[in-house]
Amino acid sequence: MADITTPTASNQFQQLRNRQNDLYRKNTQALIEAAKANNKPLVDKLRAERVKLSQNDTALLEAELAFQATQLDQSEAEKRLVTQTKRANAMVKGIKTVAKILESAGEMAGILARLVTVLS
Amino acid sequence: MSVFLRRVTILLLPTLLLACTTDRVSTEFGALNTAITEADKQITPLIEPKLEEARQQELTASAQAGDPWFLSEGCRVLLNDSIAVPSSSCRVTHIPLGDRPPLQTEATAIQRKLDVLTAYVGALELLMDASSDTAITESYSAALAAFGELGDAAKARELIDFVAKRQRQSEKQAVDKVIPAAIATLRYNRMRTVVTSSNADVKEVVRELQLHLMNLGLDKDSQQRTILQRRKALTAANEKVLGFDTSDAAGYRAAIVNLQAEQKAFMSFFQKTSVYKVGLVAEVHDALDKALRNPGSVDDIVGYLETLKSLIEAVEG
Repeated sequence: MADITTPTASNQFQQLRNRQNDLYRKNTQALIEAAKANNKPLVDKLRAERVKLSQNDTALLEAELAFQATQLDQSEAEKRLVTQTKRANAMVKGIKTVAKILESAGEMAGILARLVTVLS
Repeated sequence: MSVFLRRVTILLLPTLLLACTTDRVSTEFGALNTAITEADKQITPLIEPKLEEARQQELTASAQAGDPWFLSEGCRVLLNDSIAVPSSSCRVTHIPLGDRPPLQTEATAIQRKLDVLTAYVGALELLMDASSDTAITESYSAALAAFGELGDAAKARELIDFVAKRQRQSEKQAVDKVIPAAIATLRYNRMRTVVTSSNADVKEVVRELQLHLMNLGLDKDSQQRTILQRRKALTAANEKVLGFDTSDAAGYRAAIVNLQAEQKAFMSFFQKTSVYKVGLVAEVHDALDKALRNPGSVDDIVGYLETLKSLIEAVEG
């Protein structure tokens, strides 16, 4: 089984985005409280903070875009998906075999009829 | 039956869990299939010029390197044997000399990733085999309901009638097809394993695709502005409002109005982009993953319906 927890560049960027999300959430919460208390200086400070967060978002996306432009080989996620696809296709073959075995065990009507006898 | 009613029915009829779960997932799976088809439909013509460019560059590089080129083995069979072979197996092919890696560009990476996703969804489709299993599953759910009430003589009669009916129906077929209901369950369980273990990878591949698509700037609005340009305008409007000195109320108001207009324009543009549509693949897959991990949870059903709504909107434009 492929280890999906292996850190990859894409995961790293995702983690950074998650951190940004946390900071945004905290900022929003603080803004709600500061606004409720009518604390204008704090509100302005938090607004200014949010501009910085937004600039960080842009810097992060630009870095990710630039990085991705250099990642033209098959990514690890792609490789794992190919493996899963192969595995799924192999399963289909396996299922067909199981189906054959079950079908050769007798017609369903016969099985149901026996079940009725056993249960009634 | 509407999707919502179908789900309510599932919540109310746990005795039919086996059959309905399979049925429910085939609906969700259908959405995933639609998502990838729609994304592919939109992206393929966008990248085609870049792919052609890459093919021409690869041809030049290959000729310069002196790679051997020839007709594939499939052509030999096609040309020399009278048996039918698929025409797609006859290609002009080449082998790169030495370790020269094939030319890869963002466009070829996009195509490869789309192929990976399409093959993956195709494999899930084979696992589901919804077209052949749906009718069978429906019949089986009726049988299951009857099984639950076997103490009831009338129900037993119903079951026997059901069996007789199935027998009549299956006269045309060599093998009675009720058995595949068990197979449908097997398929369901296995698909569940594949989907839940691939969800993170699907998200990652989709993200990579989106980054390549944004880098190439293939999605353009009516003024030929790319997503990144539009994003810049929207972000600038947001930052302007956040940094605005609110003592100038009229100026502040104008900045807010501008932000509202930018946001509205961005969203109506963004929902038509290939970046958004390929994103839906990950979203629908995620909804499918949640449904498989926690069948029947109200939150998941609501979440799934929302995803389905976005998808329908995207498909219907």
